[in-house]
Amino acid sequence: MSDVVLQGITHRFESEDVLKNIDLTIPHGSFYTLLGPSGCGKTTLLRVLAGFIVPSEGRVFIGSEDVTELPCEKRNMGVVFQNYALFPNMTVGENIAYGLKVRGLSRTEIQERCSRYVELAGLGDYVSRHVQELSGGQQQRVAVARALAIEPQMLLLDEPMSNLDVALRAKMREEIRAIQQQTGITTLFITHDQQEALSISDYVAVMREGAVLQTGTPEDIYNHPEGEFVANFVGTTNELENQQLRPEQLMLANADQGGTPVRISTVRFTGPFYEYTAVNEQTGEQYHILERNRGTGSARSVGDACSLVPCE
Amino acid sequence: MNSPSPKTRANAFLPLWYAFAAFLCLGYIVLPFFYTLRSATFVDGAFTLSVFQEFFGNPNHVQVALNSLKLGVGTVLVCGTLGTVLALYMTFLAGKHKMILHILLLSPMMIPGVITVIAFIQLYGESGLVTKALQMLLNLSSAPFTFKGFGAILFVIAYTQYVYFYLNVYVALKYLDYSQIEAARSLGASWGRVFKDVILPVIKPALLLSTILTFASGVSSFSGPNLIGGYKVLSTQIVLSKVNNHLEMASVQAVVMFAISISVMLLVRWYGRKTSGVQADRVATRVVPLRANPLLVLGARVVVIAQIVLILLPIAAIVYLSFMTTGSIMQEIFPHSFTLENYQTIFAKPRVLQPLLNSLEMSALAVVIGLLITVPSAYIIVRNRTKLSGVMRFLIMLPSALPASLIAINLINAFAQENIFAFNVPLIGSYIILPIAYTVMALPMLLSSNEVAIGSLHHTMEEASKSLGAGPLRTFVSVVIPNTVPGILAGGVLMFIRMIGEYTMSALLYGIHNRPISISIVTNLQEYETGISLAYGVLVILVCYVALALIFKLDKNRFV
Ligand SMILES: Nc1ncnc2c1ncn2[C@@H]1O[C@H](COP(=O)(O)OP(=O)(O)O)[C@@H](O)[C@H]1O
Ligand SMILES: [Mg+2]
Repeated sequence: MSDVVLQGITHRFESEDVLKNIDLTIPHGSFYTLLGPSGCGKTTLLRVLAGFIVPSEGRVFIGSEDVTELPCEKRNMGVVFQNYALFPNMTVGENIAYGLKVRGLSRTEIQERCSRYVELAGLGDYVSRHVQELSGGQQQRVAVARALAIEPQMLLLDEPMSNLDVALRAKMREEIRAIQQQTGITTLFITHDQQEALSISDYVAVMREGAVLQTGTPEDIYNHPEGEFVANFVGTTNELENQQLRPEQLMLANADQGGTPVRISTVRFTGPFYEYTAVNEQTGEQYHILERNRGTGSARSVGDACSLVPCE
Repeated sequence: MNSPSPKTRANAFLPLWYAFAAFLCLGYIVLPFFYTLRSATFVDGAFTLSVFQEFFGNPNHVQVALNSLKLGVGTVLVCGTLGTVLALYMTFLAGKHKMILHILLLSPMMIPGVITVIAFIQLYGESGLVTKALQMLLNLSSAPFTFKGFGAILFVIAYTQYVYFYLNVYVALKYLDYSQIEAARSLGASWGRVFKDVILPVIKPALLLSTILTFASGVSSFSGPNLIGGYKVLSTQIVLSKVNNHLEMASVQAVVMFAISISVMLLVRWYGRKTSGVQADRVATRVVPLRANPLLVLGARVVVIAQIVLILLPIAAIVYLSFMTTGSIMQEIFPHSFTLENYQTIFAKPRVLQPLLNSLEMSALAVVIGLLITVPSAYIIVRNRTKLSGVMRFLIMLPSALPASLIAINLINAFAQENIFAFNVPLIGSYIILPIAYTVMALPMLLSSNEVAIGSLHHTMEEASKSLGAGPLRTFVSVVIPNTVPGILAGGVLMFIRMIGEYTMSALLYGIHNRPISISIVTNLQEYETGISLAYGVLVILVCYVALALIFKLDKNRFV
């Protein structure tokens, strides 16, 4: 199996450490997400993996092969850039065929493969369009198809959703996940959106200021965050009785039921849920509670005194 | 360009200005060209093509035209390669000292061509410093090369004219989306392919524009062929014909030169339009030093270092030699008798100083007249996009398509006799003819630089001022002037630099009243007053650099 292994990766720009001793193993065939706030070094790590930069320290392995020094054009990595980086002087078809053309494949082979990926990305009607005439979502499909057409060892996607509007994001997320499952290609996905990360990935690595804080499955990361930063970055947390608890892991009970006494300060209705904030008036501590909408209206209103208990 | 502005209210000034501009452009640009055509086709008052027949029937003449063409093509090829390589290096590979390198690489444009040529001769000519050094080093009995003919001329021209390519490509590369390079690389493209598929489409308009500019200057270049010699071209033959009082032939030669440069210009334009691809979206991305092939990097670095040395050597040589006595320059292998005599002579004798003063005065005059014409015109063109303002723009821009020799020949043909546009005063031989020629030549550049300066002032700014209660005059004084004057002045100073050492038109038009510095530099050299000639050169370079510092102060963004 050719897992991708990053070993002790450190990278400096002008003496500033942008990546700090990163160890990461991306299992073969998995969908692996780097999650972290803007500027934490995600793109830099992707560029190390793609071969655009040689890290100041550390090694990159694909399977047992050390590719640290291997230039990008020899690495066979499919990269989808944040702005897609489509070639504006070429049509959709020419963009997708580009990697095949530079590899010197025969014309029939290029056509055959090109149409396969055009099909896969659902771009059948757009092959001869110029890329500027396409919408954001279509451009993204071209970028993905272009990266996949070279049948790379790995697909690297740098915040591919950041240029799309919210409605389109969910849709493209599903499409990308579906394509990954269909092709079984090892994929590294970058995002700063925790929901996106949790919903799409097999594994997530949470990054902060150039370091990887935690890796694991989405459930691991969400349910057992290591440390305050991860806990807060992948969702909201409450500290109750020395436990980190998610809003949906808390319950509001009547004031006489024991537990922590709190007063409701805001109520927000989101459709499927009610979101409450409540304050412990003795300590000033604030809590976030999420309760399912049972269709009978809000059980609590602002100013109510309640007691806060963990769900069973 | 600017977003469309509401038409300014019609006022009495506009038609007056159009009439004034039409008078000047017709009188000093358009009609003089027809005088040249007439001089080429009328002999003794009757129409004839005999002079053209004389030209095209004589293989020597035809060879001269072909030589000019060859020089133009050579200039484009050499400058295109050199300028593009330098721009690529500066964009992708230069790290430290980028700003200094950039300014150095632009500097050849700031030194008058005639001084550059003379510096090159002092370095590489028969008894040049480099020639003699190589001869000694290699223990040769004679010079290792002869600095004459096509190769030597092309060498000098390439050294000065690559700047067009360099600057235009450098600016175009700022619009390159860097991630497209990485995309192509990650798809397996070699550097060659990246250049062809990603970089070339972005810089193509810049390449075509620079091709037009450098071809024109190669075809019409005069100082190189004239001073280095060994290669006859149209510009040198035009002067010869004029000196021999064969003005009809000079006119034909100037027309032929014009035909060559205008047809190449139209050809390149046509090609550009035919092949214009889709324009890239202008995204600015962070440029990261590339992980390029080390051999490629080394090659580029060698080119840059060689170029910097080539740029610095002539200046160093000319400054150094200007402090040597003429005798020591002529006799010693490596002159070392230091003296201030050359400079003392210039400043002590009014007769010797006069050419320098003439040039300062005439270029300043040309820039002032040029600005007086182009500032209001640019304002009208930017604010008032109508057919009429378009015609005015076309007329003012016309000289950019005319070789310098042709402009001069046109003026000679038009103003050697009484001419209504000069109020029936013959201008040839008078002081004012050179400032007029300089102005005509400077008009296009002044107009475009003023358009940029005025165009950057968005009309909403003026409207805001008016909405706050300021009248038109107040608005002009308090909003328009402060925001545009630095750009306008910087453009003017740049043209001043370009005109102060002007040689081509000067050689055809100067007289006893207005002998310019470029002519004195050459005649002093030819009369073996080498020291004086070089000291003149240093003084002009000094003036240029002071002016350049002024431009940087006024308008930092002009070159970066
Ligand atoms: N070429 C570069 N030169 C200098 N600093 C850089 C360069 N590229 C990125 N950085 C810096 O490295 C840090 C991480 O950047 P990046 O990897 O792009 O973060 P992310 O993708 O997580 O937003 C940032 O502080 C950024 O400013
Ligand atoms: Mg990023």
